[in-house]
Amino acid sequence: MATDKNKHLNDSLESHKISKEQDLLDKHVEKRKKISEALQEKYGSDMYSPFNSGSYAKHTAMNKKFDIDLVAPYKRNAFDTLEAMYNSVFDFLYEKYKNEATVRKQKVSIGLEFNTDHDGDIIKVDVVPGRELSKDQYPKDDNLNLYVYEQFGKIDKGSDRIKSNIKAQIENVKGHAEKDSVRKMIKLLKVWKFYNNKKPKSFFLELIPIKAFDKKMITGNTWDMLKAVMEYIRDEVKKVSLPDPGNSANDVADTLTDPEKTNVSDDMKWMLERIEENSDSIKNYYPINDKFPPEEDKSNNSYKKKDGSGISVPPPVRFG
Amino acid sequence: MMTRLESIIQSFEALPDVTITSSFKEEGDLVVGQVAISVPGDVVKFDVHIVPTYPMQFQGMDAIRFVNQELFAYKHVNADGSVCIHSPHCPDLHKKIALDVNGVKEWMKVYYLGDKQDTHYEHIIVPIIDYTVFLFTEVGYNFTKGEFGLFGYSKLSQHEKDGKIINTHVVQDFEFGTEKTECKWSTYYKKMSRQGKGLYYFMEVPPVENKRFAVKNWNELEPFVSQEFLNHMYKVGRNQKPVPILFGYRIPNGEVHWIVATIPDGKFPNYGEKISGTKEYLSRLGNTTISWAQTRNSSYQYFFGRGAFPTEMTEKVILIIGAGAIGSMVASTLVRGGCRLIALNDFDLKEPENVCRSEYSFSTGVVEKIDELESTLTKVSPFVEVVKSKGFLDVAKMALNSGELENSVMRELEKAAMIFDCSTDNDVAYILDKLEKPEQIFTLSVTNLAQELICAVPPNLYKWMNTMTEHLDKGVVQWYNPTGCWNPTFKASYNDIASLVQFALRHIAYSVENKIPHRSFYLSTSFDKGFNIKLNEF
Repeated sequence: MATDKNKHLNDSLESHKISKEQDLLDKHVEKRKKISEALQEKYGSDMYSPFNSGSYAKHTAMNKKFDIDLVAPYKRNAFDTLEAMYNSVFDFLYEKYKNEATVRKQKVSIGLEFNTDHDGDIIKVDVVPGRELSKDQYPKDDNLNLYVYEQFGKIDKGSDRIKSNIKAQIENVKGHAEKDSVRKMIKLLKVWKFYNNKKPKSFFLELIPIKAFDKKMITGNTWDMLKAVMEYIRDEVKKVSLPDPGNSANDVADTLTDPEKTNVSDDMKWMLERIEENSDSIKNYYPINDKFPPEEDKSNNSYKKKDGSGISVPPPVRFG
Repeated sequence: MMTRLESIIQSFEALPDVTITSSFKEEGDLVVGQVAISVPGDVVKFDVHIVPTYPMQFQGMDAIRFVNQELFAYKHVNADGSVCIHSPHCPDLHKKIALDVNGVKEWMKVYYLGDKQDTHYEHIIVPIIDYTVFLFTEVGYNFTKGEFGLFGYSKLSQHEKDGKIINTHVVQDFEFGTEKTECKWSTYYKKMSRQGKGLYYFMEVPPVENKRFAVKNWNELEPFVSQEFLNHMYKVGRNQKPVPILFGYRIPNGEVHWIVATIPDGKFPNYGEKISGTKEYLSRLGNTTISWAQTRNSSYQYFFGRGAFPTEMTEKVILIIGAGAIGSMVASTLVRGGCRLIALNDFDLKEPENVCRSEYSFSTGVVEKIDELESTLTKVSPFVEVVKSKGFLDVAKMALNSGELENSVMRELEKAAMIFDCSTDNDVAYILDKLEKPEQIFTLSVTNLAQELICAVPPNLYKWMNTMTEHLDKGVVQWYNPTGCWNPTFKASYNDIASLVQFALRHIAYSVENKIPHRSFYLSTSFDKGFNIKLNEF
């Protein structure tokens, strides 16, 4: 029987609600708080108050990957260079947490993946070090410079000036006229990215649905809207510009190379074709979190034989 | 109606820059004559030999020859003094003669008057007398001028062509003093029993006259070899046994090339010439014809130079699970595409009924599939290493939920850079879906009648495979159901399956070569205005 695409997407969204994993979320928040305190203790008056960014702050998180980011804003004179800032924060975090977490350098952040706890949970927090552009400027406009540790997309490794007002990024989603619909689309694209091991950064997947809503008349149910967003990405991703709301000079589209954009376009093309051809495919692209199945599935999970005859016949399967 | 001879004469007479200097006549099957061909700057005479198939080719060669024995010093002149020309195909005798004469004129302008230097290196021309063949490949050793020693060889095959026996050998190793270096064949070939040993001498430059023609007589070889080697050759020759002698030199790209002379009757051409006024002798070579045999550089780059898979595939360990129709085709195609490291896994026996749609032979009878496939693959490529396992996947299944053992089995699977799962075993797909690596896993299968080929890749390989299988299930299965219980199988011919397998492998190789992330896909077939294969990606 064909899959009801709209119902499935809503079930997927429901199963990935962050509130379903409140205990795990609490653990993340607590860990982030401790890291924040440790950074403030270490750097004292060289830094401003760390704050939460990432998708949780934007209400676009899903419960398979929390995207708990902690921005550590430093004063202009705290470090001579952005690289020195980045390395100092890494060295500090590495020394402090090396026995309880894997600490690794990432594109613009430092990732901490804590060892599995007694509940079997793994807590991940990304720390994003940033430095104000000029002395005492940060409290006025919230702008920070980040350090690019490794190349991503068209942005070169070692380039040391991605100005980004992260608070403005958060407001960009929160303040959108169709924020509920936009958030749904962002969450679904994140579900797709997570389960299908896809390349685009979360930030990219946050901005492009907003652009789609701004450029197209997108209405209807969840499937209608997702289809329209996917069509927009398919058609526009290779040429779209996605200015960073934190700094319009930054084009977030540059976080993907041209071949990577082509690949994203193909992802959407094939996804639309396959779902059109076989609605069951949507279950693989946008799965339901098995841990939180929809209510009606919970009482319907007993194994049923398709053929009750008991006679063994070779099943109509695949061959080779 | 004009005779063939008259037509030939008339054709030459009609050409403006050609004069017949010796009348054309029939000699046995041939038509022979002599013409003078002029180009601005010079006139050259050529003996013309035309064989009966002309203007068609004869055994892949042009059936007309323009010969002048005084042109050996020039490029693109064959061992018989004929000019090497390649003119377009033309079934019309008159037009073909005009085209061939134009070819000769072009050669005269470019190589005879122009002395053009080709960037492409042509091997020297060796007048073959002994049809024995020696195949050689690279060694991990840098030969130096004047070095000599022994080489070992193994007999690969013996065949007869036109009444001549052709023995083919592979050069196995070189010994110099107490050291030995092996040729870079696969283990299978290295382990072949040694047929014998020969001499080798590395001379740095080829032993030629007129730039491109190997010397014909032993005494002409003297300037190219050292007295020490001639003394050694003399000592070996006293045994009066047939011994092959390899002569090596470098070609312009730095590669070592070998040519080989044989002494079939064991009568070495060496003799000593007393140096007057001393008691010493000079080692000399007699004025007898060298029995040149054949060599072929069969090193990896030449063997697969005509076409191969990208190095990201050829140099990596590829595990093939399931050696049925698809698995054996995948294995065979990968090896013919230059893949060097193949691991095979299957527990099954090959039965006669498997032969018609896989890479197996009837002649080997009932045998383990992986044993026969290993044999087939090593016969194809002298560079492939094949490892086999039978029960490995059963162990993986048993170990799936048992901690350490599971880990060890999984880690073994992860050693492969690429896995082709052709087992059609859902359990295997389930296990592979749990691997952290390799990223490149392809679960291949076909639907009944080979209407579709399904290829699922990570992530979610297992889910995609099931989604595709269920979606493509037509519900009605036409089994091939021979007499007896539990024999039914799907219907599809070798051609049905191979066309899809080749398409799929081409698509996968393209993605590897262009670093495009792999996607699950299925190939669908249709007969809308002819046979069509359509790629449907996920």
